[in-house]
Amino acid sequence: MYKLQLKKITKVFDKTTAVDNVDLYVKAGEFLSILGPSGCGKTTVLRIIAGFVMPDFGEVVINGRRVNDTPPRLRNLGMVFQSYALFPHMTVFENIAFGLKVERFTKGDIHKKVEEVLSNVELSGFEHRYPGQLSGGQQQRVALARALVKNPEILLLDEPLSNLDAKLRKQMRDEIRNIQKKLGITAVFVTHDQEEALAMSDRVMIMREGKTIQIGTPVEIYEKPVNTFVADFIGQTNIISGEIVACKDGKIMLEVSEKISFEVDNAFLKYQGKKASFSIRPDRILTSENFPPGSTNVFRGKITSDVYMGPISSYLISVFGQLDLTIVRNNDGKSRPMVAGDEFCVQINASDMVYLNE
Amino acid sequence: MLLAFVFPLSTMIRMSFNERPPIGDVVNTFSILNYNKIFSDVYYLKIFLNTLFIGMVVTLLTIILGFPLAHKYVHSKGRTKEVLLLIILGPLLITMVVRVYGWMVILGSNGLINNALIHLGIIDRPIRLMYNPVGVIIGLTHVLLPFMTISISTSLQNIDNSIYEAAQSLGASKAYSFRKITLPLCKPGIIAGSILVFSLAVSVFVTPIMLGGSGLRSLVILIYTHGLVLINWPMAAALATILLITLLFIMYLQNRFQEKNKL
Repeated sequence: MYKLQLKKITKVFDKTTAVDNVDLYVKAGEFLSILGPSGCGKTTVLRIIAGFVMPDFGEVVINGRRVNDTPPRLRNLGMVFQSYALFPHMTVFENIAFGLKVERFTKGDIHKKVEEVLSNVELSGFEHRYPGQLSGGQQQRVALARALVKNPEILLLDEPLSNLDAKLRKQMRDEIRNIQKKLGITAVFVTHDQEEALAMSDRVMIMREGKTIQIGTPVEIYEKPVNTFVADFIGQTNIISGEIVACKDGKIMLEVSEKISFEVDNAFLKYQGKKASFSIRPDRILTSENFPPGSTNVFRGKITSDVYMGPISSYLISVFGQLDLTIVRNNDGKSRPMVAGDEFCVQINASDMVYLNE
Repeated sequence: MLLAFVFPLSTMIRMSFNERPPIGDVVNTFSILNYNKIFSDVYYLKIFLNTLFIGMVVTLLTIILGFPLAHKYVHSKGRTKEVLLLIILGPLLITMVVRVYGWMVILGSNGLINNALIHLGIIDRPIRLMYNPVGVIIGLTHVLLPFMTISISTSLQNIDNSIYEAAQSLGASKAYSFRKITLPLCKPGIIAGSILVFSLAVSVFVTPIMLGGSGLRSLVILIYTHGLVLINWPMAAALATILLITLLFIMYLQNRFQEKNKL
């Protein structure tokens, strides 16, 4: 039995379909991210899970029980809001204790539970401060503690890291993931930041314009994007489009232009004349001054731009002036650095090109 | 600024220590004759308490009526919101006298309410809704409601809505959220509104004199009477000074109350 299941969830606002026939299951203890650009419906899905939005169609099932008609306060979920939504007139202790007070826990129990969760988020000693006296990161931890103190079935997080600076984001990212793992709690995390989603999640669900595009592990999403949108949205990629001019023995020949053709491992594309697009990640393109003769998919190109980014550098290579490829190389200090104007050879493995649907 | 405030006030306070004999002009002395008279005569005490009583009732009524109004206003959008704002500010858009005349039409023996009640057979003879404290309270509440409503609206407006969702996600019912979140966060607005409404209720003049009848129940009317009818400036000044001190005291109390509950 899954911890959470969404069955054919659909929601229409005015005339726009915010959520379109979404199916999802989440296993107990899993960390699932819902990722997508602004307006894709990810927050609406989260709010439907929480109960703040009623779906027009479909079922929300928690622990095997349908909860469509259960109000938010009875679903036993913990939620962290983008703005943290801390109660400004209450201390940190009172904020966290709020949920326990509602259920009439004894004073002793409340004290114990609050102290425990405070030490989990490393804020022991902050009990008597007010939200207005805390930094962004601290507020966030209080919001997290408040959501966790009642041991909810599922932890819901609505872009909680958006308001933090880059360094704090990375730090909080790790902290949230660690706490989640330590407590073994099921989490659904909404974000528009693909790096965050890849770094934190067991699985990622990518949404666009209300629809689910792809659900998979970070590795699957990155290495095997199902279409151009996903390939482009996650990390950087090169989209190579052309026409299939030959297919034989599980390999096809993709003609990009008169001088450029690629051999691609693909047993599914069977007919010639079809137009197809493939994705190849910049980090998968090999570069060298020379490749052994007879190697497949080797082309000579000229570097048209170089961007230094610290641990890596990104280059744009133009092949015969007909195909531009972005490649990425570690700055390991060992190989000769490349600069604009240089000529290099690139090679792409036949098995590294990923076919993109539509 | 300071001059505009301090000078008239100090003149008034200085005047309260003068005397004015039954015949003749104001005598410049330093006597507490006026204050003696005020504190020894039950008549003045009754009026004083009456004024305070009316002030408190009006304040309470504006809170009870103003809160739902403010809540409705803050949560409405677009057209509804514009209309509500007009309704809320309505009383302020017409002058006092016109407004009070309006009330007289509604509350009088031959007025709207009495006619409706008699017509419906609920009463045989008109009830006195005017020329007594009831009329004054109704009129004052109507006039001062906008101040309280706006004050509470400001507090309500500043509450981040996701707080309520957070409370819900933690298991709180609407009633619980209202008690533990809305009310505490509205305290500043309610207190500010109360200070305003109370001070105005106690010092307003037109409404009591027109709706209150010849009973002379308001302190302010008393001041007016002494000052402009009896031309006993020292006495009027003394009464006014006492009113001033009372108001300052109430404001001080409310401020202390707010400080204690400060975030």
